[in-house]
Amino acid sequence: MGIPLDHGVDHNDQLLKVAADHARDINALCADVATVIFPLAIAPPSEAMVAAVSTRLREIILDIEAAILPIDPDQRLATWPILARSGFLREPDLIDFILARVAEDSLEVVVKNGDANLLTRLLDHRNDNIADAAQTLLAAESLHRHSAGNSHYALSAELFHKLCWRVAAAHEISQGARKPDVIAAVRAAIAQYSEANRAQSAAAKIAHFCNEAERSGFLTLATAGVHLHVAALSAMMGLDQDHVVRLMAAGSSGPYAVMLAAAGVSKIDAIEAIYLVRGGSLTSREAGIFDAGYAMLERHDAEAEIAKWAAARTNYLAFGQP
Amino acid sequence: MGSGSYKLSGVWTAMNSASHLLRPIFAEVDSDGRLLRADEALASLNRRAGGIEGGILAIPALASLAQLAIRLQMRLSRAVRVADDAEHLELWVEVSPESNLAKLSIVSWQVLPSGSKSNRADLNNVSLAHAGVMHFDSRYRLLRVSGVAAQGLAPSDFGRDGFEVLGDLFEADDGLSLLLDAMVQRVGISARRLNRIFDGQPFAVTGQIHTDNYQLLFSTISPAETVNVSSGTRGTPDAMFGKHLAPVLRQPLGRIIANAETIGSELQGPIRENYALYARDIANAARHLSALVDDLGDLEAVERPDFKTAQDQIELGDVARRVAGLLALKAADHSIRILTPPESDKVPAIAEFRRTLQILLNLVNNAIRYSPDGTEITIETKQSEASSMISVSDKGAGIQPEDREKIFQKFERLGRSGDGGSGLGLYISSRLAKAMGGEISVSEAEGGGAKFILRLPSG
Repeated sequence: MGIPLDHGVDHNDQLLKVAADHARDINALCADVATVIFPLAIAPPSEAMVAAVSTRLREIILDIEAAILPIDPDQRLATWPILARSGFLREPDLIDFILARVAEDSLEVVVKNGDANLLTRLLDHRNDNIADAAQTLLAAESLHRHSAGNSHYALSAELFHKLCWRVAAAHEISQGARKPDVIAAVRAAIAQYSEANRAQSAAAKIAHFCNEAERSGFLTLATAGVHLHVAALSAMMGLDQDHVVRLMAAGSSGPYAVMLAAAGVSKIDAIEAIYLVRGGSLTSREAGIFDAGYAMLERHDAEAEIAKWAAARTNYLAFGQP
Repeated sequence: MGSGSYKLSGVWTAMNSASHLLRPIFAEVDSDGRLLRADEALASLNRRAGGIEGGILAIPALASLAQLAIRLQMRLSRAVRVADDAEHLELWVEVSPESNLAKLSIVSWQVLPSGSKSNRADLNNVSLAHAGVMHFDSRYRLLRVSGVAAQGLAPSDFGRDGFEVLGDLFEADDGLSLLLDAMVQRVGISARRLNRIFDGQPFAVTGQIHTDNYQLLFSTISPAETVNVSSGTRGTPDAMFGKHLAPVLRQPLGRIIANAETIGSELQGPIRENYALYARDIANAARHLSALVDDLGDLEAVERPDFKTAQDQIELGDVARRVAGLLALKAADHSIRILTPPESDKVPAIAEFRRTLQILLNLVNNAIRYSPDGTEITIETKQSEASSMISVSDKGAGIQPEDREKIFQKFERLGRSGDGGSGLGLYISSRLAKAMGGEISVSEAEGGGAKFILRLPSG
């Protein structure tokens, strides 16, 4: 009588494959354990954040698969294991994008309680470019909130392009053959994509076309809403929008305070914005630091500091080194 | 170009930030970044940026956007900032790819009001006096650029190593070497002539420390114009090492030191203890090499027949206290105390402050290196009728009488090796002292050890 084998292994080649996978895994385990014990971030990710990022990532892959792969719904996420093993899903630009969306979601939750009616007023703006962009932004926000299956349209052009082709490649690997119909579907999806339809692009366009007085109104988060507020700060700071949104949702309110100082926001308005972003849970320590620091903060010092953040981000997204 | 009412190729647009073009400006760019066709407004901007019709689009941000759209075969819609002379423009550009070319439609063309660009507020002040500015962060990465300095740069250049960017943009000549040298040493530098490679445009470029960062201010000059090089310029046409090789060597060494220290101090997370020690060894070896590069540069300088020093009014006690401060940490590592003359003792001298500091740093460094741990190094000053004197005494093994002349010779180590010295420090110090009208000698200190005496003309 033979010895029972686990993993359903019943052929020698499968045994070798399982052995090779698990032999590699002991090295990967070292890196995983080290990261858990010695996190690099000052504010390590919460379980809720990890779950949200993971869910959002799966949702995007699922939506891309639905758009380009001719497979049954019960076979969805078939490319996930291949993509996950390839290391692509760990790349900084993708994780940064997802973290920005998670941050945006959490900010929208706190802001929706406010009176974010500025965007609807822009629908009647005498400048057609602004009115059209406001319409696009409203549609993009609505699509994001209420319509499942469209998460991939929020991707930047570069990420959309990269993800579509990699999902197609992973599908071909899983099927063991070239799939001309999938390639054609990717080309069609890419051709249909228009960056102008993204919420971030529409918000940036509004910020670009509005005059200075109108733009300064966007600095009031409660009435402008997240997208317009972020677009205005992005235009003023020279930071990209995902960078701004991630800084707003950082573990400390410090980066947001420095951005508001660089934008020339008064102390009273700044504390209101920070209080809103923190969901009304500003700690006494943060409040103390803010109270003592904000008034002393010179605008040009804040600007100089922010310029360093931009350089560090460029470096990080290019090379993955924090 | 100014703000207010503005005419572009017959299309009137009010150039305040609330307005837009009445009809878009069109252009076509191929996958090599060549401008195939453009409406006059863009063609004119391209010409001002140094581009020619049918040539590469000389507005890097636009060219990159067009090439991205072609590569991805996707429709893009973005704000693009470009420099036009001393002004910054923000264009809203919509790009549609068609196989091997991109169709650009510029629907908005705004002059950014000066002062409204928050992170450029300080820069704008500078821009009034200069045609362009390049900003580098504390690690010399290119942060931002304005005006004429932006021409020839691609978006991917931002965040790149500034030395590499400057090396790619400008001809490798004396001006560039001196500028890079000043950046490495984090000192300002007066106007140097740099010639841009891609269009041959000469600039007078001044370097400044700006908070933690470094900035270069560009002024355009005509090809025939010469830049008035400030006095005290380092090097002559023969000074190959100090001017050409030293800056090139310092850059990689600086990076090796910084990276090895980062690894050794485990800033990125823990590593095996042995590896941390190896990293510190690498940093120390690179520091030694860096010091050697400095020594060789100085050696070349002091051996030039026309080498001269400035005649500053200095106070030797002040120099002594500065040196003690600079080397306090190093001395503390060996539990060595550096005793300096009291502030009430004033011994004036006529010599170049920087060179005197360099000599004394060398003497005290040597004293720390060769003194037993836990001892004292004494710096004393003395005024005589003919000269002013400063001495450094240690409690080391001392210098044998027969070696006291030899020790000032080039590369003389008295048989010692592996202690980090190059055998050049005392030779250079001695040459510097002579150039300042003084001399260095060595005798036996009270209670053993060596006593080095620097004599300089009285103040």
